[in-house]
Amino acid sequence: MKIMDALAAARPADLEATPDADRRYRDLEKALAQPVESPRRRGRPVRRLAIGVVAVGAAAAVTVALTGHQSGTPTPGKTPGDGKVGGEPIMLAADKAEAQPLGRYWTSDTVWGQSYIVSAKTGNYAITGAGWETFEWTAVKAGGGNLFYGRDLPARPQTPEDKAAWRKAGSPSSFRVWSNDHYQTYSRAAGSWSADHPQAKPGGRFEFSGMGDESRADGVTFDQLRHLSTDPDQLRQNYLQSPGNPAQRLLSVSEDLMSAPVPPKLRAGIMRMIPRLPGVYSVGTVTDPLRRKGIAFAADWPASGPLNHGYGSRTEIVFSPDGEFLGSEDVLTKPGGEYAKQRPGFVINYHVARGSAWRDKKPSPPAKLPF
Amino acid sequence: MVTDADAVGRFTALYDELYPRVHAYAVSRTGRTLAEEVTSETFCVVWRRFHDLPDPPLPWILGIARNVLRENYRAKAREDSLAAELRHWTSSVPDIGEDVQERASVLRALAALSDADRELLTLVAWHGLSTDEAAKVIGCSRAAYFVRLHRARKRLERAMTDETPAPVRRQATAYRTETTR
Repeated sequence: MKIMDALAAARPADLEATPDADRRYRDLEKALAQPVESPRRRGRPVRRLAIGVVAVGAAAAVTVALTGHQSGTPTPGKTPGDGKVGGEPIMLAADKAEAQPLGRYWTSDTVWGQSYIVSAKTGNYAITGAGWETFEWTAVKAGGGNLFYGRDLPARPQTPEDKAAWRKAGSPSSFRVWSNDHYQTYSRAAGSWSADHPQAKPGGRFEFSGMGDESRADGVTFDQLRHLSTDPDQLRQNYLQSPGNPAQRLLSVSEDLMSAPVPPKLRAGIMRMIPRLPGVYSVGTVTDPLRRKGIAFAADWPASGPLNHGYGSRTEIVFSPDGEFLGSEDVLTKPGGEYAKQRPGFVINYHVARGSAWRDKKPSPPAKLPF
Repeated sequence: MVTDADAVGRFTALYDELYPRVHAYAVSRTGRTLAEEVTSETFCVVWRRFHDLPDPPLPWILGIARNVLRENYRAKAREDSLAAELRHWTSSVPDIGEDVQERASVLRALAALSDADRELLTLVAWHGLSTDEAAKVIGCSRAAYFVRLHRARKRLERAMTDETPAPVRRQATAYRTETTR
């Protein structure tokens, strides 16, 4: 059962209540005794944001042929997590990561995508839907502000074969697909950027789970990150403290690198740590959904239990050869369930960094679409 | 000023229709000790701002309830009331049916998350809002809501994994020990 279904099923039965007659009388009397205010002056017109939402989580995906994703299968005979498998490229990349500069603002421009199978009488085909780009800047110093933008990315058929099947189906301009628990329609049109309420957060704090304790739910400061040990063994201990299977842990590492201004030395330490995490193995060279060459490490999702959805998959974390963090993707390893007809290597969903970076001036989101 | 019988009638109908939903939201955010009071105060604000009532009204009203909670109650009072509620959830799962263990385990995992994560998850899973509507309650863009929900869901999954039954967990520990030598 998927996690949001399980959560819905666990809803306590007695959350709702009807007021008794006395309570109802008192509530209505108290409310109606007050004057009704004049309509509030509306602020700036609210733009219709055409960002499609997947009800439950899930980032997105792109296809093997379209992106040229080249993940291989795990190399047989090598032991996961021994710190040596494919270790050399990541060590070199980590050295380069150390040399990169800092700035006053941390920006994170990220791209999400999710694969869906569209049912058509003329033949099913795979699309990338739930495509988003998010752009966030956060001041390194508290009080310096934070701003979060989002825009919709066009949904599209994935491989040339999918494109052919889409044409056969009449080249529809939108796609209606089953998304977890409901139908969702994704359009082939891109949306425009829309920001959160400006300065909604004061800045200075970032999401980061690799501190090794549970006391930082409100985020960490750049200073805390700067003083965190960069020793791979210590970092490994930190990440092992949080619950989760190897794939979830790898995803945490990826989200940390996506969400926080990780200093280059710390990033280098994290990169050196990754091959030492339990269950993590080298995948070798891959091409990510933005068509960038990278080196990837992976961890498998459980083959059974509540987190298994009838197919085998793994999470891959990808870095450029120069030590830039590129993102993560979930890749099919054993067809089944909703992906019964896809081949191993099919990217189920992804969340990649288009341009996580340090800046000295307040940044704006890029006008150009990522693809 | 809206004082005519028509507006009063519409407000009363709105109160009767949505009281249970607002109450449910208040219980899930702060526990039943404070829920009646929060719901009552929320409908006071709804009447004061009756001219601004959008369609559908629920996300807007839950947004008001959210502000009422934040502005009118000290954090300590909210936390105490919520702590009692979380204990109530995890201890009151009926001991019947085949999915009892899973329900109890989900609720324990949910109780272990931050207040913000719990709100993101339950607005969709328990209060029947679409992600668009939930974003309105929180006051953020849909993209922001999507991203935050995604992360909250991952944290819930992790907390669930930590709830793995003992024999399986022992195996996992053994595996970990072997592979980390």
